[in-house]
Amino acid sequence: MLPSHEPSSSSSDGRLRKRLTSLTYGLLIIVGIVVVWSLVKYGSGVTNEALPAPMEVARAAWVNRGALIAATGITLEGALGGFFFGSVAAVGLAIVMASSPTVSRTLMPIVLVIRTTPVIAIAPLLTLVLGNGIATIFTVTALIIFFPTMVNAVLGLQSVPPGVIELMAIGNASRRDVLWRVRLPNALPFIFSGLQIGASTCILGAMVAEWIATESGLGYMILQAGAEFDIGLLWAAVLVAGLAAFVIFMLTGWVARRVTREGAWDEA
Amino acid sequence: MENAAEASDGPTSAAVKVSGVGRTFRLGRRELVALQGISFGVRDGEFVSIIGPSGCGKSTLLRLIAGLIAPSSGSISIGESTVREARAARKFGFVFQEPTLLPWRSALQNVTLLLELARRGSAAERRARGIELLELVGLGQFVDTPPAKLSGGMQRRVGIARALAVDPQILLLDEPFGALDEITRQQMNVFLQSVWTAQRTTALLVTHNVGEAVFLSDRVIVMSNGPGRIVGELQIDLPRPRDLTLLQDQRYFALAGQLTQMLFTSGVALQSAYS
Ligand SMILES: Nc1ncnc2c1ncn2[C@@H]1O[C@H](COP(=O)(O)OP(=O)(O)OP(=O)(O)O)[C@@H](O)[C@H]1O
Ligand SMILES: [Mg+2]
Repeated sequence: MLPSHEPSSSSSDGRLRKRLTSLTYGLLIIVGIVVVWSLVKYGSGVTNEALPAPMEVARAAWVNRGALIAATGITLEGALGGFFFGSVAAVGLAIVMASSPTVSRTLMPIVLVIRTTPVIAIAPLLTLVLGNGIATIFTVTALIIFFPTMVNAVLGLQSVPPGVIELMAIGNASRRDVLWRVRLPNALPFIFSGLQIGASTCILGAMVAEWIATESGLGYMILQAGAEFDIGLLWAAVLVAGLAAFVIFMLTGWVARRVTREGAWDEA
Repeated sequence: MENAAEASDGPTSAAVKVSGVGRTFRLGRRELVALQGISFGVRDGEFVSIIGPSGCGKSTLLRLIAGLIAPSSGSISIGESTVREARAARKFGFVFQEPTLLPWRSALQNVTLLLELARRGSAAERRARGIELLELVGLGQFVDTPPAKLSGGMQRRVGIARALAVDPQILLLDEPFGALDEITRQQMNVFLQSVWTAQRTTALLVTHNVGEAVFLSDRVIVMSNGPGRIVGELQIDLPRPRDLTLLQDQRYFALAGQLTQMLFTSGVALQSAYS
């Protein structure tokens, strides 16, 4: 009758080894991509406009490193801000929607219209109201990423077992107590799976916003490089954007695992 | 059938009064009469067990008494108040048939949940009370363990500790020891009896186990199904406190036999299952 603990004696050693293998794994993938890329490039007659050589992209990235870093910073700010506000709005909206079927039936069509409207169509309206600045970037990114988090959160808020609701009734819990102590914790894994989808899309969202609203960031840099036929820089910017999305995605996953406390959730 | 407790506590001492209660469920287009014409009372401080075949409406009856669902007919009162008022006053401790633990909370945090809801005591006091109760149910070493890492019987015991945490006036137990092995079950029965004696609560226990009903109760109500109704009642006039030596006592055997007899002669269980 001893508490069962995970083996923890060799943890620091094992964790280091694990990290090293995942590092070599990552490096191998990058090397693999470059090799395949080179093979495709030199093995076929693809023009430079369609696909530049890896070295050319690397060179363009190095030459323009200052501009690239600055643009990345701007896009990251827009993406993370939009991700944050969009996710907060998504959870807030989900709480309102989950509160009653009537509210949900009323709001859902509106949300779907907003969801389906191409951002380009409302770009003039947005820039008119919010200006050509960070507010528009945040809003556009938020609009693009909020939906999966909202849908998942509604599901999580509503999927509390009936027995638990009865337990809370025995404790004479207020709606607020039920929300904070049961519905939200129950929804957390659902919310995080929505957040991970949002995390994978927020860089793209910010770049779309840059295309329609401002003249800076990686999105704008890609447009600009395309117009000037600087294909090396275009691809460099694309790759950096992809890398940024990957990092945000992985960080979100890491936070999700930490917050949901070592999988107490998925065993339930 | 008269009990000394009633005489001393006077006429207003009915802790639970169920009068002509029926409950119908709608299953698609069909109407299912789960309970019909249920009437009984539980005196203040009395320990009453409800025994009956699966599906005869025992859980439904406990839910009705706790005000979790409303009766289709009849009425229920808790002392002088309605079930709603009693629930608002947090008079009930409820041990559900399923463990019903929150998976993101440790055993201790599950036990203190209802104390938190009642905003009762400081966090440290709630913690101390929770640990005390977990030790009482033999889980002192599992205070910080999440439910997913506890066995079924251990989860059940966390549920019992949780129900006791609010010092309920009326303890409603829905087959609390169903998942336990015979030895642990006996230990828990002795434990439950001591809690009931010490806290002077009124207890209503749903069980499938004839021995358990006799060991714990002042009175056993026998139910049958199709529709769920009361078919008999047995007074258990065994001296208290009862300990495990009672299990070898002739009077215990006699009462258990009598109860088994009542269960089988009511015998609607199989009939309705095949109709
Ligand atoms: N929420 C519900 N909706 C529809 N029917 C229900 C509901 N709850 C219970 N019933 C029906 O009421 C009847 C009694 O159910 P109940 O759970 O009270 O039985 P029980 O005596 O506790 O059985 P067991 O000993 O197996 O736990 C069953 O036929 C069941 O199908
Ligand atoms: Mg039941």
